Amino acid sequence: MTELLDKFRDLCITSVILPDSKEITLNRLNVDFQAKLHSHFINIPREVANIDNIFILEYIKFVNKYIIELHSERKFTHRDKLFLLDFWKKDVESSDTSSNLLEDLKCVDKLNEIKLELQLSNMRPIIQFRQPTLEDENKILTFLLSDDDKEKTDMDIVFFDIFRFLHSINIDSHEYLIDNLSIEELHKLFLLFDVQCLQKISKTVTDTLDNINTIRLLEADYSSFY
Amino acid sequence: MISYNDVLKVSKLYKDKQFDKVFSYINERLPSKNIIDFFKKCKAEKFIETSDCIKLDVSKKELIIYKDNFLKNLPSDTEDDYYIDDYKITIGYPNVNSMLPASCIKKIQYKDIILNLNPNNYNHIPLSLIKKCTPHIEPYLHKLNNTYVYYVNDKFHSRFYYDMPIIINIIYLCFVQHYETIIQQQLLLMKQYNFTYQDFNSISINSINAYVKIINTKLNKDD
Repeated sequence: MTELLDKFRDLCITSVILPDSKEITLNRLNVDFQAKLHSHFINIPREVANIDNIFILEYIKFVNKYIIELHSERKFTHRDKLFLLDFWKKDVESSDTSSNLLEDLKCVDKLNEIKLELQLSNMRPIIQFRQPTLEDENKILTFLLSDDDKEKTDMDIVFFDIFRFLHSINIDSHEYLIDNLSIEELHKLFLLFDVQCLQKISKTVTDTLDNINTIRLLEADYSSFY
Repeated sequence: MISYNDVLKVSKLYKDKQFDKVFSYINERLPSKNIIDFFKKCKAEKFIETSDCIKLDVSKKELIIYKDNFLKNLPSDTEDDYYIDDYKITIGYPNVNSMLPASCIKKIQYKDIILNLNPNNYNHIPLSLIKKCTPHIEPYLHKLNNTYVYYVNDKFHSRFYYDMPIIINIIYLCFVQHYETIIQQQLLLMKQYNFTYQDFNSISINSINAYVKIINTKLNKDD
């Protein structure tokens, strides 16, 4: 009996080369992952408004944490996560379809080169972008999920989805680094932007990451491995 | 057996909204092979006499559920073997406490090695193997979800779905009582009729109700 359990343990261990964090040894997804995800979800109160948004934010946070804990000394990036999600999805579905994912994921680098000028009242701030680490993402998610009584609206999803990619805001030749702001301050900043500005930022991110948008959808699909 | 003190305990937990503890407590008291076995045990504990029933308030009227109306269409417990990749896999009804498709897998045989699965050892099974078992697991879940929590008639019925809140609701219907009433009843029996607290560990709520009925009849005669 132990022999078969050992065989499953061995089957689950593999190594992959990640786009940013290089080679790592990790487990293929197994029932342990599903059980942990299930226990995480079962504790979320169901009788609240916009439960779907809560599930999405909680799921992204759960997956980020799961990846971070694979090798706590490494700083896994957004691109590493997308690569792993694709790897796990194909593995679970026993799919052997080839893809150019590593090549496609290079589009994330283009974010660093963009300078987006916005019109905000009488100011013309310039937004610069970056690739977030999973820790950056989880700081935002922890902030959004910290208040149980606050309804999780679609705007919370928008805030997470686009503001995690912000590197800095340049106003009157002065550069304000997003890393120097608390998440609470970042959220207050988000609330100052009008819808047109937010749409412009969102379109810039979506267009730049166009090649990998299918995999980005997997990031928020909590039914993927359930 | 679910004793009077067990009913007292779960009723308090339910009153305090500690629903996960309500489930764990009854699950511990009624160890089961799978969800079908668990429900059969719950039903057997609740409906001892022919007259035993569950009373519900529905649309300001009392709905009475007898044994035959409760957990209607609960499927018979079956298991089957399936050959997937190099494994012979035995699939059946899920465990009551897992909610994961993996708990439908009861046994995996690879050549001469047999692995009997339980929640303590199935964590290492790859999801890719679970996914391949899914077409064989789904019919079991489908049959299970065809169960009714109760079915009185076409108007008054409640469907079952394999989900923890519904399982807790079934436990509620079987074992939860009005906490203040039963604790007062217990105190009265201890004070006036020499029951000890330990006695209630080995007496069911049905037996106590029968004793109280006799006591009340006697008191009425004496009056």
